[in-house]
Order: sequence, then structure tokens, then C-alpha cells
Amino acid sequence: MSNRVVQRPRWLAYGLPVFLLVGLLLQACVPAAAPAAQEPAAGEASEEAASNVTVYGTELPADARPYDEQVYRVAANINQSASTFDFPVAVYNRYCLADLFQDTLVSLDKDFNVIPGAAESWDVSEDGKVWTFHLRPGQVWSDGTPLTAYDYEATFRLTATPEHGWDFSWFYSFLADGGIKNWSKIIAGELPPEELGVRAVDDLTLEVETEDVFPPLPGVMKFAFTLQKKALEEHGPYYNSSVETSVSSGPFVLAEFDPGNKIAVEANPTYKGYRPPLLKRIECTFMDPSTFFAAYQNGDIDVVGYGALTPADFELILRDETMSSNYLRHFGDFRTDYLLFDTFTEPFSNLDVRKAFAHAVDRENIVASVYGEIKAMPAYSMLMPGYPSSDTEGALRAYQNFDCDLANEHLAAAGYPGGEGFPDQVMMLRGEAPAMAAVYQAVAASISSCLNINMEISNVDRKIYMDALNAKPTELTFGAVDYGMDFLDPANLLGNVWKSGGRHSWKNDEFDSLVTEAAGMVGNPELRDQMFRDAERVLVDDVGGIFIAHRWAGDLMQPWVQGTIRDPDSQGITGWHWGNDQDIAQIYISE
Amino acid sequence: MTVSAATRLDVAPPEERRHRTLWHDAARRFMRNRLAVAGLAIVVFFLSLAVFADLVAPYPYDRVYYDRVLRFPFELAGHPLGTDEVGRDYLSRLIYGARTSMTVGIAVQMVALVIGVPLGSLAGFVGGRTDFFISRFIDIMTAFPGLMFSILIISVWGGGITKVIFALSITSWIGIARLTRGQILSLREKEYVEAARCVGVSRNRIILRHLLPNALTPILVAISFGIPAAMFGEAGLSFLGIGINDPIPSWGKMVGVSNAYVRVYWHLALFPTVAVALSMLGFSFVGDGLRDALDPKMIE
Amino acid sequence: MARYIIGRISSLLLVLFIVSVVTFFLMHQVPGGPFDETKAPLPPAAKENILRKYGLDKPIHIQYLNYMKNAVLHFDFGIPYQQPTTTVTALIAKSWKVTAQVGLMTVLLAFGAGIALGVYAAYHQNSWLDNVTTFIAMLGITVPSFVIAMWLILFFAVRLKWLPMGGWNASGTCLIGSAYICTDWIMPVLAYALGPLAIIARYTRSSVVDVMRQDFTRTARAKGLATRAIMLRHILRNALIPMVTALGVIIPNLLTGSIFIEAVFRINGLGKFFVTSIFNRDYPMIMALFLLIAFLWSLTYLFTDILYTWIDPRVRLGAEGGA
Repeated sequence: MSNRVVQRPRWLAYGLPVFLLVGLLLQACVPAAAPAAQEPAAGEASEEAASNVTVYGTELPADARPYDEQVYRVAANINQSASTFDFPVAVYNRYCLADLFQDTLVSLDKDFNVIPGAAESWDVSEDGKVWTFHLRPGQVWSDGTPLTAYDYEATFRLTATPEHGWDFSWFYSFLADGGIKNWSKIIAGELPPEELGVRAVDDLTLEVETEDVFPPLPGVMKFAFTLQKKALEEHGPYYNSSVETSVSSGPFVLAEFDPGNKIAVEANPTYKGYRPPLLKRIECTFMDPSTFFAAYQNGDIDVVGYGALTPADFELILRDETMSSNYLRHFGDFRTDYLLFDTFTEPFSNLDVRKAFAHAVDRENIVASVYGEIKAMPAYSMLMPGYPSSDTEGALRAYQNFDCDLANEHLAAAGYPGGEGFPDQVMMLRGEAPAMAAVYQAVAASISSCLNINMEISNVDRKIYMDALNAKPTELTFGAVDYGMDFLDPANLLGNVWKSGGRHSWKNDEFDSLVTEAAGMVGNPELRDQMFRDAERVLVDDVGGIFIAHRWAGDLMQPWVQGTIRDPDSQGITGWHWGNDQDIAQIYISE
Repeated sequence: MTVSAATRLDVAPPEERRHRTLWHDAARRFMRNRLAVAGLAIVVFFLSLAVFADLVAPYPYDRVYYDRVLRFPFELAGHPLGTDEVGRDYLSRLIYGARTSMTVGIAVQMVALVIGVPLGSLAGFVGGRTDFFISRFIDIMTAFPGLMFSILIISVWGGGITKVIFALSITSWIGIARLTRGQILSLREKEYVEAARCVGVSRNRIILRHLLPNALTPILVAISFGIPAAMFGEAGLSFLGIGINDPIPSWGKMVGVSNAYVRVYWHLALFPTVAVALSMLGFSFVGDGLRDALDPKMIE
Repeated sequence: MARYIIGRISSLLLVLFIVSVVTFFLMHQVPGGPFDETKAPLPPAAKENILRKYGLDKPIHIQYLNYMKNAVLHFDFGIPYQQPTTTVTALIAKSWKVTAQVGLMTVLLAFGAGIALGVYAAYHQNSWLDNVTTFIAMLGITVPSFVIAMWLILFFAVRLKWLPMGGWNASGTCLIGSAYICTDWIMPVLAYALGPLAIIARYTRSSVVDVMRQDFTRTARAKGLATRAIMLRHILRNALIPMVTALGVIIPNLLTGSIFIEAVFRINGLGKFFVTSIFNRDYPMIMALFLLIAFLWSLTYLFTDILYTWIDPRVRLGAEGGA
């Protein structure tokens, strides 16, 4: 035994560390970022002529690389939990490359107009409550089964089944009048799923009945995804999580499935829908978001979303001409950052206090220096310019603009001259990352220095925040939050979000009646638009919230990624557009 | 400096002769230890920063300058360490950060002292079932993953400086309690304790007058190591984004936030890490020095 | 001996039981549940459906009993809410692979370099390398690992641009294929190893110095044994006890991974679950992690105590209450 003790330390004490150190030093000398360049294939020019046709027989654009090289590479957040590809299974828990295995009933164009998707047309009944969608004939699943309205019906019933516990089931209750008939009762187990207001009439006809008149319903059918009824019955809702059982009626089929490592899809040769893709393959590699940008710089991935870019990354992008011209800034989901309060209790029940706060936020400077203009624009109201009924003219600016003197007048009128006697405030944040936490620190500093009051910031985790916010009565006195739209109609961002009884502890009868009436209005789009505009004016004037900034989203693309994704919409905005399912099919890889 | 300090102690007026020699010797040994003195200097430096932050810091810690966001050191006059992601003077935030660190470090150790020493002495002196239960309790607490436990606690009760102190205190007393118990166990068999017991001195008086003073030395040393450990704990929680509330600065939080900016704005990471490292080193040197100085074996 | 070990194991089980009870009830105290909707108040019916799906509608003591029944009888620790298509055991096993790689490299570096430096420093007391070692040891022991990590990043990634900012088998060049011993291993391992390395170097140095002063070493040397032989045969063996103590602290830490190192270098190991599972109210993961750590620590205490007697028969088991 003593021999062993003697023997071990000799090499352990000398050999190993020397080996390790030498190894480490040697590796340290290797430059880390050896760019794995995208080398244009030189000798393949002769084959090109024959290989520039897709599986659908479409010819690729002239500057495109051969069809075999039409591979689009994206990255997935390895830390994010995911359990399914399918929206009807779990909305908040989807893998990358989700939503490519089926077409939703409708899609949106670049200007957010509802256009046909899997349904080629639709019409509404006399009473405005029953919508009939007509599917495109000839659509099939990749196993040869025809795609029918019964697939959609089965999928909707699944999502409403109480045992399924769908994480998006709140949505159709949240739509209130626009909700699907009997949704809430089925969720509560009071009615069987067969009573749901979604019915297949025949193979190509699907009826959707709403609780009450709801004109924006076709837009909501952007969420009408479908699973295959047959596969659902044979393998259960997770059938897409395996190459063998996966079936697709969308433009791509599952080719490789190794979550945590790599997922790949390939063009679906049997696809008969409205968006046959130019790409042959999309690969999704799982990495940590912090390495996305480095991978992009290495040429390993073709796109990085703005969420994965740190402030330092943005600095580097702005300094680089190629990168900054390939950063496609877009609306994202029309997200607005705002402050909210409990207006039912002191001190924020006092309108003057709310106005004082609203006028104390120096948005322009905060956006210019803390957010950076590439990421946000100052907000004076809820709807981001570009969203339906939004205040593109700046008519609402004056209600919440930065004016410290005016702010102090309001505070004095509220009985706290010079901030005297105003209770110390804690601004709650919803688990914000450093960049957004910095923004709200600047907001808090702006308010506290202008009004001479004390303010701390408590950045709590999302669950605690939402628990406090959603409690009735609310446990959130003062906080900051953001909201991105669920569907493209002011009935969502004004109605669902701000109507009393929802997430905010603010109540204004005029506002409530305006949005309720406008939401269900048919036949008079101008009046409807004007009513929403009036409602938003009430919102900012009564300071239901203090609007800080509208968030610009964006994607950093490789220069060789081409297609309609680079075309501007009518407002000159390029890049990805919410609800637009066509651009992905038009992406191709150029030389 | 060492000499002058020692001399000054030499001429200090004698108060109680017997005590003076013990502490006098210890102080002299401590002052001869160059590292310990350097550590003491660092600790005194950071402590005075913490106490006099309002006077020393060039700006308030929460003063925001929109036109000076993310500036490098010396880029602007008046901001020698640059500014942070919100446009606040980094030097001032660093100075106020010392206050956070010191407050947490010292408060947590005070709690540890208040809980650990009585519990440890009780277990050590009374023995029997009391000892059994307290020891098992200590065993169980040791098995809890400290950091995760703190995260859970803060998730239950929210962040903020008092909550952080509370969360860190929950596990900080264990070492002190165990140490005190061991000390009391070995001391209570000593002859002078026997003698006191024979003479009929009360149990409380034996603990307070005879046992605790003699057990004090190692406890003192443990505390001097416990302070940086608690500072580390605070820095760690704040690093993960669940510690001290904004806009109050904390070194750990500054390091954590800097992670997103470090590729370009290196200064955000450099200065708070140096501050953390220096203060930790300072306290450790003092702790080492104290242990050596108070170790009876060192008396020659 | 057998009686002692049985006693210790039963107290280990008691500890695990109490940890499980406290953790279970504490984590259910945290506001917010695992499936709270983040947009609007969830309709009560929808919320109930989701809770029922995961068995969270039952009284908490029933939930606890169910959990323990599955855990003890079937070794089934449930489904992690973060990734419902896998199991807690599978998820931990998967992320443990990376953590184990980090840990293994760290142990190798810490022990290899630590012992070498310690022995060298003891033999060349007050040489410049001894001073450097002391300094490194000081840094490693006192400075938090995330601070060291930040310095490494600042120097090697930001300033020199030699090494990737982070990742594990994710960026940089690799020695074996494209997956093993990559350049992105260097900084995490260095930052993580420095602490244990410092402790080991310090223990080694002081015990080697101690032993060198002992009579038996002098005797051995007087008998004319060569220096190296003395060192290896007598000194290292005697220096082993403090090493075991060091091991007892280091090993469980390395096995469970470092939240900080994994956060700074964005390593996808077990460490991140310590934070994310609490943030996501992933009850099964929280339970499993708490139990795992408690188990590892208790087991390590037990092993080190047994190891003491094996190395040094003078140490008697059970003499003083134990850990």
C-alpha cells in the first residue's frame, strides 16, 4: 500500500500539471475566432445549371447558390425549455423551427392585412357570429392523408379539453365577445369539447362561431394551427417530437430531431399549400444565446435575433458598416414599455400624482442614450406607430411629454409641493435583464430627480411580479412592464389589455364603453378607428399608464441571406413582420 | 509605520495589568506581521469609504447623466473611472458599493455571533440531550445547500438589503455554533473550571466569566473570516440579480451587470472585481494575522 | 466500525428526510406557481385544469407523500416543468455530463498543479516561486471565482482575443475532433480550479513543511536517505490527512457545478438549474437538486471520516460526535 502512495504522487505532482499547462498554453496560442468562412464553391459552376431548381420545380433566383446549398442556419437558445413543435400543444414551450409543419387558416401580408392561408376564402353569417372558412382543395399531409377541416376541428377540441391544460387557453376567454363559442364553459368542464363553436361542415369547410359579434375574428385565425387528426388519435399530441411519427402539411418536414443539439427540417416534397419554399433545408443548432453573436461573426449561423444581442454587441454592430446595414429593424410584436400603478389606492388614485409622474419621464433622452435608437422610440401612448389606429401624427404627445415644471405643478396640486411628504416608492420590475433594468433605472432617476422623491427598484422574478399584478386587489403599487400584441387589432392592445377588470388596476367608464363598443362594431371602419383613437386619448389623459418607449425588434442577417424578407412594407420597414408566413418561403442563400 | 504603531501602543496608559499584557502581546505580534498590517490598512480604507461615502464620493450614487452613458475612464473630466450603463459616475457607485458590502458583511456576522455563540455554548456546556438536539440541528443545516437556500428564501420574501442579510444569516451561524461548542467542550474540563465549580460558582457565571472569554479568540478569528464570506455571499446573490435593490450599488451586482457589456466596456467589469478582490484579501490578511497573533502556541 | 457506519447512514437518511420536508414546504411558499400565465389573470377553470394535470390541486401534504412514494419506491423524481418531455433524472444526468467534464478537468488541474506548487514551495521556502505561490493561493482562496473569471475574460478574450468569451464545446478550436478539449475549456477550468488549487497548494506546503521539521524526517535524513525518497515516502503520506479534508470540501462542490462559473462562461451544465428551477417554480427539479446536494455533502462527510481512519489509524471513529 505504501508503494501505491509513493508511486501516485510522482507523476501526479510533476507530469500531470506540466502536461496540462503545456496543453493549455498551446491552445491559448491558437486564435479563437478562426472564421469558418463561407467559401463560395468554385468548381461547381458547371453543375449549377442543373441544380438550381427546387423540389417544386421552381427555378431559384439568378444570384442564388445551387439548390443543395440552400441551407438556412439558425440558432436556438439551449437554456430555453421546449417540449413541442406545435402551438396547439404548448404555446410557450416550443422548439425552434416550430410552425413549419402546418399552415394556419390565414396569414398576414407586410402591411398586416389578413390574407388567405390554408383557407382560400371566408365569409360571415348575417348575424355576424358564424364565420365559414373554405380550405384550399388538394392540400395533403406528408403521409398522403388529405388535410381536411376535421383536422382543424379535432385540434381546436383538443386545445379546449380541460385535461389537455393548454397554456394558451386563457386567450379565447380573454377575447370575451370575440371568444369561440362555449370556450370558457368547456375549459371549466361544464360542457364537453364537442360543444365547441368550431365545427367541420365537410372536408373543406370549417365553421367558427363566436360568443358575440367580433369583426377582427379572421385575424385571430392566425392562431388556427392544426394537428393531424389521425396522428393525434394514434400517437397523441406529441407525435411531431420524433422523425418517425411526425407528419406535416406545411412547407417543411422534420428531418433531424436531437433537441439540445440540433433540429433540422427539409422542404416537404408533398406540399401543396400557398408557400412552397426556396430553401432546401433549415438547420437549428442549440447554443447559448451569448454565443449567438460570435457564431454569427464566425459565419456559423445566418441570423441572430435582437434578444440575444447584448448592449456591447449592438455597439459593435453600429460600428461596422456591413453588420449595421444587415440589421433589419422591424416592429416585432409592437411591444410597448410602460409604467403602471394601482390607481385605486393612495397616492396614485390622485390623477395629479399620475400626471406629475407622466411628465417627469425624460423619454427622449432615455431612448437616445440608454436604450439606443436602434432598439426603441419614445412612447407617449400605448399603440406603436404602425399599429392599427395608432397615433402616427403625435396628437397624444402633449398628454405625457417630459416637462419637469409642469410635473411639479401637478405634484404640488396633489398636495406634495416639491415632493414633500410623498411616500417613498418601490418600482417593481419583472425579471428584467441588465439592458432593460438600466432603462428603468434611468426612468426612476428621471422621476425621482425631477419630483424630488425617493424611489427604489426591485427587480423580482417574473412569477412573483405577475402574481402581484394579477392579484385582486392588486399587490403591485407601482411597476414597469411591457406588452406586445396578441393579434393585430386595437381591440387587443387597448381593449383586452386596458379594459377594467383585466390586468390593470385602472378604471375609466368612458374608456371601457368606447373600447367595448368599438370592438364589436361592424360596417363602419372609420368610426371604429376614431373610437379607438378617442379611447387611447382617454387612456393617456387619465394616465392609466405612463408610456416610455415602443420597442424596435430586429434581426441581424448574414449578407448572403436574400429574399422578400429584405423588402420594405408601405412604411419603409424591412425585415420580419408579425404573422407573415410567406417570407420564410422566399428566403434563399445568395453567393 | 509598524514601529510607530507599536510604540504608540507601548505608551498607552496601563489600565488593568493582567489584560494589558495579553492584548498587548497580541497587538505587537499583529503589528509585526506585514501582511496583516497591509490587510488592516485595506479594511480600514474600505470601512472609512463605507462610513464617509457621502463625503468622499464625487456624485450621488443615483445621479444619472443622459449625455454621459457608458463612458470610459478619464474620457470625461470628473469621471475618473468612467460611467455606467445608465450614465452614473462609476467611482461614486464603487464607493457606495463599499457601504453595501460592509453593511452586509458585518451585519451577517453579528447575527451569526448572536445566534451561534449562545447555541454553541449551550450545547457544549449542558451536553446530554440538549447537545444531541443542537448538534443534529447543526448537521441538518449543514446539509442544506446554502446558496440555493438563500435564493429560495429571497424568492419567498423578496430582495433588498435586510432580506439579503436575513437570507445569508440563516446559514452563517452554523460554523460559529460548531466552533463554540467545540471550544466549550474542551475548556470545561480544564482545572480552573473544575475549581470554580467546586467553589460553587453558578453555571451562568462559569460560562460568561470563565469559558466564553477563553473561547473568544478562535471565535474572533472565525468572525474575521466570516465577514468576507458574507460579503462574498451578497456579491454572489447580487451577481445573479436577486440581491440588493437598484439603484443602490453593490459590487457583486456591478460585476453581474458588466457581463453583458464586457466585450466593449471593460471598465464596468474591472473596477468592481478589483474592489471585491482587495476587500476580500484585506479581511483574510487581518484574519490570518489575528489568528497568528492570538495563538497561544506563538508565545515564546 | 460497522455499527458506526450504520449509525451514520441512518443519520444521513434523517438529514435527507428533513431536507426534503423543509424544501418541499418552503418552495410551495414561494409566491407564483409553475404555470402562472404571464399576460392576464388566468381564468380559474383554466388554471385548475393545468394544476390538475400536474397533480398540484391536491393538499400539500398529499403532494409530499406522493412525491416521496415515487422517489423512494420507484426512484422517480418526476417530470421537470421546464422540459416536460424528459424526466428529472434524465435532465440531471444530461446536464451533469458537462458539469462532470468541467469538474474533472478542474480536479486534475487543481490537484496536479496544487500539489506540485505546494511541494515545490515547501522545498524552496521564500524563493520567488514560493512567494508567487503564496500570492496565487491568497487570490484563489479569497477572491470569488466569478471575479477571477471576469479577469480572465478581460485579459484573454477582450484584450488579447486569444480565447472565446464563453461556451463549452461551443466555440473556439478543439483538440479532439470538434467536441472535446476545446479552447473554450481553458478559462472556465482555470477560474474554477484556482480556488481549490490554492487550498491544496497551501495544505501541501504547510504539511510538507511541518513534516520536514518532525523528528522522523530528520532521522531518515540523518540515515542518509535521498531527499526525494524522504519526501515521497514520509512527507506526502503524512500530508495526506489535510488533503482529505480539502477533498471533502472540494469534491461535492465540483460535482454540483458552480452557478457562477457556468453563468459567466455560459456553460450549459447543472449549475444553471439551481437558479432557473427556482425562478420557474419547477418543483420537481428544486426537490431533486436540494436532495442531491444534501446527499452528496452528507456522503462526503461520511467518506472523509472513514478515510481518515484508513490513512491514519490514530484517528478513532465516533470519538467526538462526528461531522
